[in-house]
Amino acid sequence: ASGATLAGCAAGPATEKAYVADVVNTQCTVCPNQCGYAAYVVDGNIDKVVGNAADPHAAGTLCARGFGMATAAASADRVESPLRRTEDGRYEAVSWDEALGQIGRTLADIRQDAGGSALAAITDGTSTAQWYVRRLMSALGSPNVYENATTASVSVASGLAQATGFTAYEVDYARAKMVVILGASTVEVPSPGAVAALEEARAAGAQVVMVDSRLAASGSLATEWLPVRPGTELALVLAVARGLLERGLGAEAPLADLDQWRAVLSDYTPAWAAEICGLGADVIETLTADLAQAAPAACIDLSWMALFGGSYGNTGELARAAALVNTLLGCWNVPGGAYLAAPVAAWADLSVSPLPVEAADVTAEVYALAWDGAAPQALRLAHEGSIRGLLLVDANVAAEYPDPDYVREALERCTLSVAVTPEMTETARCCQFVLPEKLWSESDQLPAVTGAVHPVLNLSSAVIEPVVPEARSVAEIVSGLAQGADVADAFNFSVADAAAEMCEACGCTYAGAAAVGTSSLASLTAENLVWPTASGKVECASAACEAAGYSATPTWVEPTVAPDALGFGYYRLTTGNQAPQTTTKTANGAPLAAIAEQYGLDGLWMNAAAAEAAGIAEGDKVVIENEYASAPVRVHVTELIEPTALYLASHYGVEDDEQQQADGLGIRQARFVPFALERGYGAPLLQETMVTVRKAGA
Amino acid sequence: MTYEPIWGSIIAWYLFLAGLGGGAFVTAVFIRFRHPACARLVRIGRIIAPTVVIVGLCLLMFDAAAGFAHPLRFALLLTNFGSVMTWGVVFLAAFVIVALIVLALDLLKRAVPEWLDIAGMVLGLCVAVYTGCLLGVCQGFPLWNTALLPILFLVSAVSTGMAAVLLAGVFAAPDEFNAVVVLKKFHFWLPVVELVLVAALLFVTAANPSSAGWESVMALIAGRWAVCFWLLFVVVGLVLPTVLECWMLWIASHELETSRTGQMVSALSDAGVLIGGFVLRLMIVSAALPITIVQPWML
Amino acid sequence: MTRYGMLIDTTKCVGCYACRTACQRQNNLDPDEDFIRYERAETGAYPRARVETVPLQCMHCDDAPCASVCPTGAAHVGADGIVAVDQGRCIGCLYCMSACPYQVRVRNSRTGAVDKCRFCAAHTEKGGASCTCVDACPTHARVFGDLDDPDSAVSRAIVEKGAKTIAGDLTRAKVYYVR
Ligand SMILES: Nc1nc2c(c(=O)[nH]1)N[C@H]1C(S)=C(S)[C@@H](COP(=O)(O)OP(=O)(O)OC[C@H]3O[C@@H](n4cnc5c(=O)[nH]c(N)nc54)[C@H](O)[C@@H]3O)O[C@H]1N2
Ligand SMILES: Nc1nc2c(c(=O)[nH]1)N[C@H]1C(S)=C(S)[C@@H](COP(=O)(O)OP(=O)(O)OC[C@H]3O[C@@H](n4cnc5c(=O)[nH]c(N)nc54)[C@H](O)[C@@H]3O)O[C@H]1N2
Ligand code: SF4
Ligand code: SF4
Ligand code: SF4
Ligand code: SF4
Ligand code: SF4
Ligand SMILES: [Mo]
Repeated sequence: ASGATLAGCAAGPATEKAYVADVVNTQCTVCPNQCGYAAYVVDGNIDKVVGNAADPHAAGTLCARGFGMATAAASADRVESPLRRTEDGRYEAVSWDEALGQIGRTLADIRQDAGGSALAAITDGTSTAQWYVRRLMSALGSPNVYENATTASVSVASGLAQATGFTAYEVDYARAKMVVILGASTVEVPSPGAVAALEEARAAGAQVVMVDSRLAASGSLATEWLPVRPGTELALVLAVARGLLERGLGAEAPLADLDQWRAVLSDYTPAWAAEICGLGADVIETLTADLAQAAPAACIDLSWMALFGGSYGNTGELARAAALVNTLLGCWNVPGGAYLAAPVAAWADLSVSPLPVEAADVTAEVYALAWDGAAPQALRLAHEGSIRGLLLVDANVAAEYPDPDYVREALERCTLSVAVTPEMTETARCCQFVLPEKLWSESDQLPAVTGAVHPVLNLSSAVIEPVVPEARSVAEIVSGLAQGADVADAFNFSVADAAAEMCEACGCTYAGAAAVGTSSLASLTAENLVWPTASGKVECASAACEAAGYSATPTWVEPTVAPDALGFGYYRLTTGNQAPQTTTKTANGAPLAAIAEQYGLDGLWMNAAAAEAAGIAEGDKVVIENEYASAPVRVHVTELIEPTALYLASHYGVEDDEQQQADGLGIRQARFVPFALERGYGAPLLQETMVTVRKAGA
Repeated sequence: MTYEPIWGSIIAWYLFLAGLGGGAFVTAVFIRFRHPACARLVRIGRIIAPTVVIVGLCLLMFDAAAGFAHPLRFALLLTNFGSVMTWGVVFLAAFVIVALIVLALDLLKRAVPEWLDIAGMVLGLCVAVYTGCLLGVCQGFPLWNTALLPILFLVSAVSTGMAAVLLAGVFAAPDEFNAVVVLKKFHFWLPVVELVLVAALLFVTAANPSSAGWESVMALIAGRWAVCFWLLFVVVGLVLPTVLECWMLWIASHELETSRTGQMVSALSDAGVLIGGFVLRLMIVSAALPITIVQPWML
Repeated sequence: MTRYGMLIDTTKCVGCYACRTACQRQNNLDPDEDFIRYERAETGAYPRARVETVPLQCMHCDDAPCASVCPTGAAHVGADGIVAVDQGRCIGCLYCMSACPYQVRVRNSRTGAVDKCRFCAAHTEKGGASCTCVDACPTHARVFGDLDDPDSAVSRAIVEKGAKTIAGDLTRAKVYYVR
């Protein structure tokens, strides 16, 4: 650890002893923002934590989840040793040697029998896990490595890529004049820096429009809330595109095939869109005029990955349309606009980089539009038998993908299934091996590059001794597996070696980066922006999309299921994140579970008028039901949700008994969703489901 | 967010028993002077008084978990004479000491000096009033923060104290029970006074500018506590005793009143008073809503 | 004299709970021990409804009712007007919890003693320039400082924004709110 001893300023009564702590720069990995922070260690325990001020995500602080999970290593529910599933479905403790040896041999056997393509891995997408697992899999001849954290956002990344060649952008909130946020939880899923910048913009008079079927508490930051019917914002975006073109925007824009799109757009009048998305035509008209006025310091924000990036049958096309609208607005990489994130090209061919693989990703055959593969398709292939070995690193797929039972079957049908996790999870419960993992606070990591407006390199060092002595870091586990599978050569370097190479490729030293935690990198400016597309421009038409069954230029695509509106009792069951929870990592975090319990955050949201019509009152126990599941839940009746939508916060309803803090909190939205993927893009259709709701006992 | 009451049934028991103890002592003194022949009833009162108060104090100490774990901290209880609770501790301690001395003298068949009995009675009344003041000084709770509460608790304390002595007397000293007519007539009026006081308390509370007052009252008469309030407190605790005693004292023949049946009717009425007395404390402790929960801002 | 106080601008609060968990970390509190409590209010009807969050915590009342009722002197008004609880004196009678009109005191479920916001910047040895909840707030909704110094950031913000105590003169509170 790169600890420095710090004597705190004793501002208090002189009798109190001075505060002495080791300060270590590390990172929060609770969500993909990976905020950098300084941990103060006293007597071997994490005491206070302070967000890194140089990290634009942390902006000098952390979010509720980051503070609440800083001491997660001390959780009472950690897995204590490697476990192997026995015939009767229970787990026996085995030694690391035995576990790694047996898993390694099976990996090698599967490769021998069915080829490397019969192996797949899903990781949480954090830097070390993704790097090490990809290198292991490539050494085994498998290209099938997927990021869980972007699985759900795959259509946004892919739709963007179809149009621009880039897969993500970040809005320059602080300097924006106007931002239209689709899926307002961009503030509920905040990196503290994003929230700070958005508030700064609002205070400076910017227009912050939140387009969301519900308004989260953080929606107080909005200057305007546009409650759309869920799944319909594609109509809104198309009408805005038409309006912008009518106003003459985009004349200079680097757009290929604009006229082809212009012709298609002519039908998409504000009145047409109003009919579909439930907003007034005048509202859409004003929105378009305001955007035109504010351009180029204005954009459509697909939020993080928008509605977790693949909820609907039309999300990929929505992303494509939004990318084109932003191009019309001229907002790319200009102050107040939207910054495309350049990939870290320098990392492609380091001596420690994953090796190129001959074979093609197995999910691309059906989901050709999916950028970097479709994890749920890999699970389907496991269900069907063509994927035989699955490695799951911090990915709780049996909890967070549609139809958890289908996913469980997929895992159970594999010849080999391995879960790497610090705590027992639903996914680990269906795997043959469970390997206890060190948390980030317990191990050194590879650097992560994040951010687009102010990109940075974050480096995380071990803060404390492992709380669970048997636990190993992902790097240690992967190296061990490589040895067992006879590809040990792939890991003849240490984490520090690899980290040093990666840092140097970005122009910093390892020691320097570790000492400061966060190092700034250059951002992509409008001047040096090169479109990595065939035409070298942003493309309105896509042959790949056409081949996948969409039109060449974005058009209106219906969501796959529709609510039958008020009165008939079918509601769309939406979901989305909540400020104090992130994925299934936090539901069992005691400080966060306590918040959920105290404030009833695990309840079902229902529109007040709809509830009244159904004879349902605040706090009632209701039953939601469809052909896939039925479960009781407490209802929160509110004016802050669109009448055809219900909302269940993500990540509650933990079903594993060993996660004691999460016990009794909420129900799992994914249980009500069939296992179905978005055409071409391969994202799980998490919100394409309808339920009925009735008072319990009625 | 739903509001969880700070104090629960243990504190309700404590308030009830402290009041009952004080009331029982007052009753004993009353009998000593009004019905000097009824020595056994006097002794019953003298036994009940310190016993229930000590039980109540034990409950209090148990509920004060940090003190229960570190008993020496209870010595600190006498450090803030600005606190009603400190005064309560003083009254309770003095009362228990006096009541135990009186009991000891009585059991040792020594004469209890009149001044000692009167001192005990005054302390008993202080204890009863204190239980109301304890809650009354909490400005955040409209249901508590009124001068009516100490008076209500005082009346209820005397009423439950008398009921306890009479109830025990029915079984332990039936003859003396029949003899204490003045006591019973006095006792008869207390539930009636209580009814008036409770009505006044509810009106005053409901009129509080904060909606917490209104909601507390609604919780009592039409909400979560409604069954408790109307059935156990009003019917069993106030109306039933009033009706039964009315019948016994003024309508029934002297034979019926003094018969075993009559005594059992009276016993039933006294049991009702005790139930009502406890339920009153429980409801007042639990149903009170603080102004800043219902409406945290009053700008 | 220094008289510490705070301003909370609820128009900037996004109800993110960061101040709560940051405070818990800074002060090594139990998961269910909350020095900050949130009240949420919806205004208006769909589709024009809005939401507001009001974080409440100890107001460090000059005339602290919690201290005047505390029988053991555990709850007391200390140096710089900071209201504190001496954990080693507290018997856990909860009288202070009933007496506090703002419901911002909590019982530690392990020790049984009562605790609450400590204005941690000023009075613990590990404090920084400001309180942790102030530093943690992503929207800078909070300001901490010396109320007796008319030039302090908090005094100036109170004047500029017309901040008021949350419940008028219910107590002489030192936390000011903008709504
Ligand atoms: N607090 C928290 N933060 C997180 C995470 C977390 O779990 N918790 N996870 C991280 C990860 S992995 C990701 S991928 C991102 C995800 O970040 P986001 O992409 O922002 O995802 P969600 O919060 O799931 O967004 C769903 C929002 O869209 C709204 N919504 C639902 N249906 C519709 C609709 O049809 N139309 C519109 N306009 N709105 C709709 C929901 O009400 C909700 O507010 O967040 C990251 N940050
Ligand atoms: N209904 C519904 N489903 C969703 C979403 C939704 O919003 N609603 N969001 C989707 C999105 S965007 C995503 S990214 C996925 C996320 O899905 P998850 O799989 O829940 O999230 P991950 O962060 O990938 O992995 C969580 C796992 O990380 C490991 N882990 C690492 N550190 C810790 C720790 O400190 N404590 C604990 N307990 N575990 C730890 C555990 O194995 C844990 O199960 O879910 C998707 N599914
Ligand atoms: S945004 Fe919050 S949860 Fe995500 S990395 Fe930063 S501190 Fe951690
Ligand atoms: S707010 Fe409550 S706890 Fe804080 S000083 Fe005032 S009365 Fe005491
Ligand atoms: S709980 Fe502790 S601090 Fe509160 S009044 Fe009782 S002794 Fe004082
Ligand atoms: S001032 Fe310190 S103790 Fe008080 S709420 Fe803020 S962080 Fe917690
Ligand atoms: S940290 Fe700031 S924005 Fe978040 S809840 Fe606290 S006061 Fe509100
Ligand atoms: Mo995600």
